[in-house]
Amino acid sequence: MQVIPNGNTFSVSTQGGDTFIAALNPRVNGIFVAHVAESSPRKNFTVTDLLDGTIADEYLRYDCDHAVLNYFWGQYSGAIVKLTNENGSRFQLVKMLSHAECVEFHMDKVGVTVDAWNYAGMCNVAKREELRRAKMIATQEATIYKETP
Amino acid sequence: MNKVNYTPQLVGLAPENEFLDDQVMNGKTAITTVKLDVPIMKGTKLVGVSKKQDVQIAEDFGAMSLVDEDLLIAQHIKAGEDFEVESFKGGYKLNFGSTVFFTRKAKPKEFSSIHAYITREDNVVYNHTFIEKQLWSDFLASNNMSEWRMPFSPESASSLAVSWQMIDANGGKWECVAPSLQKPNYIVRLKHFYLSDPKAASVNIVYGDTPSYDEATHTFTVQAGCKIRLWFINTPMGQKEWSDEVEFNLDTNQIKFF
Repeated sequence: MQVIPNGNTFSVSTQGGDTFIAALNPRVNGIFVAHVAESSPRKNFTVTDLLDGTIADEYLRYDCDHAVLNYFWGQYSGAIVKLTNENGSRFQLVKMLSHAECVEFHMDKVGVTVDAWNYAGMCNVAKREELRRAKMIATQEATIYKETP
Repeated sequence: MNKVNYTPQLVGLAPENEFLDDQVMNGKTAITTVKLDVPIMKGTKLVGVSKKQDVQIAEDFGAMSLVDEDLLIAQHIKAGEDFEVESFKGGYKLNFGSTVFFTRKAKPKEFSSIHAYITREDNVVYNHTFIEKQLWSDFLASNNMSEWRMPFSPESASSLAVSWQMIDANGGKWECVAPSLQKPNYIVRLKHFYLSDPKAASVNIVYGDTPSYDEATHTFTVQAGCKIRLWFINTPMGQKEWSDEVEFNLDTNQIKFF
């Protein structure tokens, strides 16, 4: 998979399969959003986050890093893309992700609750897992801390 | 028919919302309150759980889940619902409280403004549906429909359809369907059907004849209390992606559609 930032857009090229664009920390009114990543069966497409008439195939709505994830013949590949305004580019390619990095589990622990996730899990077409994760993050953020003496 | 010029007010758009008429919906997020058990911590130790706390979570409805919604926003806007508008990434965020819509500017050859509109002169009802702020027949005369797309069907040619519905006082319907606005004559699919008892536990749809329709003149005899409803639908993917409707009441009369 190739991800190439180009001005207000970035282009994605794959060998095939489905490609998902997942927001990594989507928020509306400060609340974490359970979302099914936008997906495209196209091998080549462009993405923007500008809704002002900038022409692209996919439009991002969240001010956060995104993961572009491709699933093809049992293998995941991916890229982390960050929003920026540096050097005339709206996007910056942070890193490419191997299959192993896509399936590796991350454990974000807050207090006694653990948000377990991996990039491959974002390649969903159903929302149940995303809702579960949104509730976990909401629980973490609502955790009550009592002052210690 | 006297040609009617498009104005936002004519189709029910308030002046303060006119700027949305070249926008299309890009997504929707619903905010709900759920009850969750929340840990109580003291330092790094769990000292209790606060049961069933109200916590807000948000749920995004991606592009495909908007199929069957009003992708051009018009129905929400025209319904007069209160909402807050915020500029957002060059488009707009429309905050209806528990639901937040995101909009973006329509691309070239992408539908953003389609409004059903009907008028009546004497016993004739005219379809003035506006496409991209033009009378539909003018729009079709100067545009190749196969070049136009709905926002979420960039690969699919549009397939516009319009139907008249006549609704009598007890809810019975006559339908009059045109497969495409490109065909000037409405093809009548006349089955009079109605719910035999709207309060019944199960719905019994009764089909009847069409005694009020004269095929030769394409004229309906209507009774007091009847309504005409115009549906205008775009189904590029075989699912309804967008529709608009208008309705008005009729007296006892003979009505012919044009």
